[in-house]
Amino acid sequence: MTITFKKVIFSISLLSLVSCGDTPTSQLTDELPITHSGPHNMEFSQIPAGFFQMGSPETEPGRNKDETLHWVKLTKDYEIQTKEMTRGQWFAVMGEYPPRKDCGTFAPNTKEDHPITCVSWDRVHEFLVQLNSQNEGDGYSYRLPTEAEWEYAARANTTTPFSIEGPIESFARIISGRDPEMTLPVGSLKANGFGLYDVHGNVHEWVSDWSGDYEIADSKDDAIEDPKGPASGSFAVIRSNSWLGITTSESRSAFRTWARATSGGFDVGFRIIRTQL
Amino acid sequence: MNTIKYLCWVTLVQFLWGCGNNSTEKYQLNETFPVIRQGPNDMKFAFIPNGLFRMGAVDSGSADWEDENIHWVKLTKDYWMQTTEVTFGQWHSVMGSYPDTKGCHGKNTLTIENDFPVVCVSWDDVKIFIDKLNYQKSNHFTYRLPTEAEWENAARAFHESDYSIQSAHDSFIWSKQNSKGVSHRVGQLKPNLFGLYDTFGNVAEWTADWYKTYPVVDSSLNPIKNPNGPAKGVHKVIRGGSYLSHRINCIPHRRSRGFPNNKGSDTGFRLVRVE
Repeated sequence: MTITFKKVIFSISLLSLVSCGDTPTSQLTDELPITHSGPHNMEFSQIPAGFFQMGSPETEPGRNKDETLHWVKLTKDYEIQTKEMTRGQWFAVMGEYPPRKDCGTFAPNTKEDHPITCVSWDRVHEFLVQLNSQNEGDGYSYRLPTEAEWEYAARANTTTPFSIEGPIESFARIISGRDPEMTLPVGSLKANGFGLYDVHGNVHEWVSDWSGDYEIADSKDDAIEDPKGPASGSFAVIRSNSWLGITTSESRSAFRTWARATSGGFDVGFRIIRTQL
Repeated sequence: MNTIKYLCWVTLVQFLWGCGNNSTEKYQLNETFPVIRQGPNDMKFAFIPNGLFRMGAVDSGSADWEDENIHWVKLTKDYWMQTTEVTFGQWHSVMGSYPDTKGCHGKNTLTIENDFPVVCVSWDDVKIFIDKLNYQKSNHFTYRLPTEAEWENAARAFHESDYSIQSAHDSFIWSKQNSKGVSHRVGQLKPNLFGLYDTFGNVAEWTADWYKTYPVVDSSLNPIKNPNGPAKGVHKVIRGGSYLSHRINCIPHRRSRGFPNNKGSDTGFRLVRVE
């Protein structure tokens, strides 16, 4: 009898989990982050599909006009790297570092556990081609996040300017232009609710979208599904702030900037996502 | 020494310029062009002669980008290019329906009317359209997207400068400065010498090629013949500015690009046909 009773309870709780499928975020938050390991010690955090408001409210201090608040629906679960891609991981995949000339003014910190920089959007895609072919058959496709996937993961269900509480220096490497070390080893500071480090600082991060105005949806019912950005362009969006950033407003979850996809930058790196094939 | 070097350069440059003009000399420009023929579904095609041209930024100025380096290209065959961008009406007659606007960036500003350029079509969608068209119209022409080089050669129509500052700009280009943020009926403004409308504006246009930076070669003696881009890539090349582009980007050599499965309210295409 006891066993049967337990079974019933168990199946009821299973059912309730299933029935919560429409609003997974609030239910699952308590259990997050759930992380998985990937190739070359990359660590991925599981991000549940869901709705969120992308952009910033007009009352947010330091906001820019291009952050128009709108509803977005991400229809598929994905896994995003908890940390920025490191120099060590870059070398393990590519067998070489980006040439010094791609760095411009600042030679990068050459330690292996620091984020890779001096990589153009185009070069990141050469990396992704390599990574995907080296890991063919592991059941995953590796790519850059879309801008929406990046912001959703960076926000970790928060609607505040930053996704992590506490003084900004406890979670964001910024305003450090005079420090000869420049970057910090990835994951040195506090993580957000999804287990992501450095979403507000250390280095800028490429995403896959071209820059442009957002597609707008005022209500959850009209939410834009899996937005991919403008069809045509040549300037790609970069997110997060870098160690060189001099204002905290550039660190906000909603902040957007962009760069030519052909140009590498001494303070631009990336983190990748993977989805199940 | 320096003087000799300088003289050598001057001679070389003059020599190159001379070669560049050869293709034009074959034609009495204003009498020969435009040559226009009717195709299926009210499409019109303009004759584009084979020849040698300089592709990329001609007057290398500060506004040029690093992937626009000038290089000589030779197109060995004549081709025909659609005088206007493909319209919603033409799309509908081939496909039997209008494009699905779901997932189309900027669809709020869209005008779906038959004379307007078709947009919200991904490169992959365009491929399906072209396959259908070729199947339906099996005659001695094959329809396809222009290569990037064919597009630029046709858009230039023997014009060798960059159009970067043109007082008559608004008379032939729908750009952000005169479009009021929406697309316009095809063929409303002045055509170029070959008879092509809206090449630099209205909607941006998919081409056949994968994007890659150009090879660094600059000699008219050793031009790249019929280039068609790399075998694989991430983005397909998109040419011509759109009604959303600043007019400084509505120029013959400016390159833009996009994922082949993405679609937007300012990106369409035009066809070429070859015998």
